[in-house]
Amino acid sequence: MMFSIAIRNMLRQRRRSLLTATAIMFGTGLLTIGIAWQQGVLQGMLGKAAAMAGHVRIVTADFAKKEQLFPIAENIADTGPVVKAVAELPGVRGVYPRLQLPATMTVGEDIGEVFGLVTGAPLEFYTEVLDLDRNIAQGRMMADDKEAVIGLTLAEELGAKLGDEVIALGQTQDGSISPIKVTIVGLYDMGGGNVNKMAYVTLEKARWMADIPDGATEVVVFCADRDDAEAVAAAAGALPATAGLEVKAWSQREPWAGMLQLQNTIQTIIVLVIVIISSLVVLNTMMMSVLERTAEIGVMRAMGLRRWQTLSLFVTEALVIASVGGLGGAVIGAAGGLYLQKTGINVGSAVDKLPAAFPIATTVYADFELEQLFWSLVLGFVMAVVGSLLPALRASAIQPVEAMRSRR
Amino acid sequence: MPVICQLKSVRKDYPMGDLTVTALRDVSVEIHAGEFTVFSGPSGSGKSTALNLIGCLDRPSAGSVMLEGRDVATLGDEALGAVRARRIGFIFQSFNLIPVLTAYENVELALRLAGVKDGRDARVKKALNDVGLGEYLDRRPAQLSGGQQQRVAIARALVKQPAIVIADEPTANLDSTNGAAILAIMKEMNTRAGVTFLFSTHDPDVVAQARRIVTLHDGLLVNDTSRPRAS
Repeated sequence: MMFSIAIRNMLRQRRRSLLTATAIMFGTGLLTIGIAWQQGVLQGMLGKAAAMAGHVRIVTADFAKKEQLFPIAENIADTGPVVKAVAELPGVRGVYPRLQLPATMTVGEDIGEVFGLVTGAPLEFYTEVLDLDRNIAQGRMMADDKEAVIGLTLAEELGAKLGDEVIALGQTQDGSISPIKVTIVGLYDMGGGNVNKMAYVTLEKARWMADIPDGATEVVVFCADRDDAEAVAAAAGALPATAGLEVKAWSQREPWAGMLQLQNTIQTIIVLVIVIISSLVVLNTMMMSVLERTAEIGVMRAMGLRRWQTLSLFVTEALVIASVGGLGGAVIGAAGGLYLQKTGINVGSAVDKLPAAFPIATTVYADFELEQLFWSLVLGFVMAVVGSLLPALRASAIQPVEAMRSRR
Repeated sequence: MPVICQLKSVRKDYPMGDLTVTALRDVSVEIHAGEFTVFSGPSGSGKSTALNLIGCLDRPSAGSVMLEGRDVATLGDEALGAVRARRIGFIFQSFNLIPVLTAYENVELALRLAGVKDGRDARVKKALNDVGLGEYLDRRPAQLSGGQQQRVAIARALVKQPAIVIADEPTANLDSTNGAAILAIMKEMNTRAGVTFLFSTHDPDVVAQARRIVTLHDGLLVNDTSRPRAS
């Protein structure tokens, strides 16, 4: 009967119940969309970051200390044994030596002012991991050491087009000036922003430029499952071939370790803010209900309604409203999440100025999962319980003699 | 008849800021089973306070309140609630039915709160039949007249077969015809089923029907008159 009373009380003040349900509906819907969006941003960044930096990265300890300065001299002189040993570990999908070399880029005769990052890696890295071949906007993939594929943004900054020759002026590992000349055969678009500012050449070309014939500044490892990165890193770190080298999973390296923590904090704040705001609306409407029904509660208390029964009466009412609002919110959240997953949002120039360590594409897509919907619904019920608890406690504290004094 | 309820040297104080207002002063009274008693007196005389104490809605500042041999003044909130649910019926001036429940459900609620599980349906229907509302089981309070609502309230108070029924100004919100009808029903319940009724009222018709009149003034019991039972 208490459940029946709760439902009828909900229908009794339809507008107020609708307002409460709407608050929970928007709370639940916003949570679903917000979490899906944030997951999308993170997954997008991680996906790009993993493609660019590897699930696990192996470098020399000195390179790790000074990597912001691109210390070419701190390289792994012979990457062959490392690649061979790590490739045999379970859960490893691919192992690639890679060089990232800072260079001044020039098209034509004038010495350029455009700073770029020349990346050299095996062609399989570009096709199997980076999907560079599928992101060529103009032209084709490079076929030999004389060719390069560069990003649209870099091409725009250089004023370069397909077929142009680019001179990249870098350094060898001993500090000597080292230019390379390559022909642009492809322009890639991997989502805009700083993701499109790389110049990709063959591993051999980059090795020649840095004068590291058999080595690389880093060896990047890709796992079958990104979540296994830390376990693979531990296994790779224990190999004799990596002795003296730093082997770390992406989640153990900055900025990702910090980013993950930041992401969790931001997500917690978003959840708390939405839950608190929605709970306040529930609290407000439920408190009005309690005040209006003080005499009625007093009568029921006089008839023997226990405190816990009074408490449960109001919490049940809020939960019934939360069920209605939560279902509405689930529909809104799922629709919004799926829409953003399909179309994404163009964040435009907002991400262009970010450093290369934050490879966010211009268009960010949500990452909607049913699990997010489930947790949003759970939080919808949390909003209802949190919001109704204070009014319910107040109702349960009503003394019948006080409540009925005004309505004898 | 046995004593069903007893106030022993009861005092009730209400703090009002820095002041203390004493609503009852050293009141002692015994209520016997089957009585039809009116607590009368002007406003502020303490009659409602006395009924609240007997009805386990409040506790005395001093003295004791015995109900069926047990001092209820010492009970906690939950225990008092249980006593109210099982042993006391209330009839209020404003009827105070639960607006979202039908007449049937309003009466049934009293049984549920009293923890009655068996034979609820028959008891509810009988209680409503006894007050002449057997045809109005599915009506909500808003679909009933004031007199009909008060009859539902009587059925709700009586359905659990309480030790005592407390009626606080039960006819005050009714016209004279309905008031007389309600009074007649309660009188009949008292005579036929031996239900103990305690009233607080200003209504001379109610006072005229009472077999015992307890008069309070400024918190003091000033008169206690009994009339012989009419044959």
